[in-house]
Amino acid sequence: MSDTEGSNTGSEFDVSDFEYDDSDGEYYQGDNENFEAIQSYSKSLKESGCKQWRLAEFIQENFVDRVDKLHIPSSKASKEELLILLHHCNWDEERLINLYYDGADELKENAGLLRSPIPGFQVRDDFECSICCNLEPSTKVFSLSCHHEFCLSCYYNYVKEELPKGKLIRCMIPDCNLSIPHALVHQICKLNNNSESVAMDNLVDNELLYYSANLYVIRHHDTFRWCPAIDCQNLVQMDLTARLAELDLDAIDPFDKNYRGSDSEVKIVTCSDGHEFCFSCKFENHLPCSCSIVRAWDRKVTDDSETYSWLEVNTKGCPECGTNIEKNGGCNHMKCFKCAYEFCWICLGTWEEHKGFYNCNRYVAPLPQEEKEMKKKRRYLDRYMHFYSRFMEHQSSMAWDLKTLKSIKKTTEEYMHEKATDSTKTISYNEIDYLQESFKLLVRGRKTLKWTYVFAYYLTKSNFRSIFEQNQDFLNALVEQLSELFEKIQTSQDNMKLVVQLRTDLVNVSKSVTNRRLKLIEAAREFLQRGLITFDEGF
Amino acid sequence: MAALPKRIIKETERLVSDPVPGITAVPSDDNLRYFHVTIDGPDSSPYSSGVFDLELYLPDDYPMCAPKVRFLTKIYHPNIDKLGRICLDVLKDNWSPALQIRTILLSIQALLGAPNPDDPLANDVAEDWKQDEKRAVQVAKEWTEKYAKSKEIATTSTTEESV
Repeated sequence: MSDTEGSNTGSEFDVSDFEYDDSDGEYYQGDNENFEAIQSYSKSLKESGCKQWRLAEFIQENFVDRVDKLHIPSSKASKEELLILLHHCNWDEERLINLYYDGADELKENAGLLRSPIPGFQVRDDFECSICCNLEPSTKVFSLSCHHEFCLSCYYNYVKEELPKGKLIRCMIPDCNLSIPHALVHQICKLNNNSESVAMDNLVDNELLYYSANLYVIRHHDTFRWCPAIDCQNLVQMDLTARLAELDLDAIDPFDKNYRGSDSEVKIVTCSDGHEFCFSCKFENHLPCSCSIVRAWDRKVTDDSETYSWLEVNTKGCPECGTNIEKNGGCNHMKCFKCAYEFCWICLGTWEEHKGFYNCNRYVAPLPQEEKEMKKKRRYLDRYMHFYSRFMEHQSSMAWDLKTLKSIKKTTEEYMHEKATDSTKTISYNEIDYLQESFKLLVRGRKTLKWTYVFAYYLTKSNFRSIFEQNQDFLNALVEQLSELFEKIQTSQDNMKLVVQLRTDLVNVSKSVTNRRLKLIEAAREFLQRGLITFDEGF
Repeated sequence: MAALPKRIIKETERLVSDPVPGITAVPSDDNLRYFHVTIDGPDSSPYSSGVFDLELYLPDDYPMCAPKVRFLTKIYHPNIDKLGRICLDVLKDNWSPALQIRTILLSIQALLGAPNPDDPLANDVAEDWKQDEKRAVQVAKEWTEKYAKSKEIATTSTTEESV
């Protein structure tokens, strides 16, 4: 890091602030310091004012409990009716009460409240459904208090079509405004699957309330986000006081020289299952990159990467001008379409030397000058491919890591299972439950590492880029070390023994990964804030 | 191709046996979900002199989804755009499986009689309509004469055929 002296950059900034003493190469012995770093990090996440919801909790608290608390004097509405009324008013009690006092009958009619009794599910002989026009000797039918009967399977298809809209579902007759009560919607969904009797399930599992929650989140997009992780149904709610102004990523230009990043731009939150994501742009935790950089990268990758990979595999750059050339015939005598330079496809040397004989079969180490001759365009491509391939490499490594974890998890579970009958197995659960935590830290480390390549790709050359790259190297080394430990466990014969043996190593390395990771992010943030680094998209 | 649902067969039969006055809908020979449609411009509307061609397609999820309908004849109307697409609530959000081809076509005919420039699809037309309704009606008449089939010719040709 000798070239980071202030005199070189003309800055008075003391770079030693960002040098981390890693020279001893030892594992961190004192846990306290690192624990604090990790704890303060997760604390700051909590303090950012976000609330974690599981879907069921969300439905319970925002829909079901609200109905329970709702009190409209002189109304004899049942819970079921109140649920319809509140759903009709988009779960806004105040609006409901105002509308109720403006005209209770009108509100009830608009919401489509039923008059009892509700015929519900019946079986009819020789019934012709006016929707599907099928005539069967015996048909299951459904109707509301309007007695508009249709066969159950048509009702099911209709409900299935209407559910995703998240609104109350009405009778199929256009002018009949009656709403199907939530519990009956659930029964229609279930009954069509031929389960004869349906126990009244809990409302938190109600299909209509689920889609209504979805609509609610869309309408309250400033405060709510679904966790973007696959198959995760958790929600994160931003506190109104801490909430961000709706971020207009189009208005942010990270390649402006005055771009300083912004803490309000990236808002990393965690869902109840520990998935980290950015509240602003709904990507995974992409630190150290800001949302606008991620966006620029995403655009570049989707636009260019396929083209680039194809070029990389199928073309060679003209040794003279760097134009990409595809070989579409058998002869190795190439002539550049652009600069008319004639060369050999195999050795990329000038064709002059090939007349009559092939001397390119002999290996000659390339001259350093030849590399210099590589023209700009090709260099941009190489540069992009350098970062892109590393980015993708870590992406796929993450998938491999996950496989490793699954296999380790399986063996420990088997071990615990056998332990009940086998007295020679003495390892307690406490001794292995750290594995998962360590693994989570590995995944997070790798994720950060992955995004450092995007950050580095756009980074303009400066001494601070070198520091950043050094931090990147440190993190890379630790992540690989940790990944290797996991693989060792997976491939070993007696992996349970190794799990116990490697415990200290795993705990230490995973902590170092986290420590290093947080410091890298912090340093990048600070560099940017102080204007010590800038980004350039024109590579 | 999957068998045609009973509902579609029934609707088609009824369209032929009990046609709606001023509207025809004939299924295509090679695709029974595709209909050639004509609608007479309603009386006392600027379209009254013309007969308009439309196409109608019943998607796979019909009747859970609305049919897809489009004008083939060029028409000057605030709720119908250059491509013939129609802005009509029952073709979108207010579709109900209890509605039918005939009710939808009647709604479209009604839309010709009652243009709604406050909920426009063709913004330029709607703008003209709002600023100078008289002139817009005049243009609509001119377009009808220019692009739509004339009602009289359409009737004579059918009578000639039947003779």
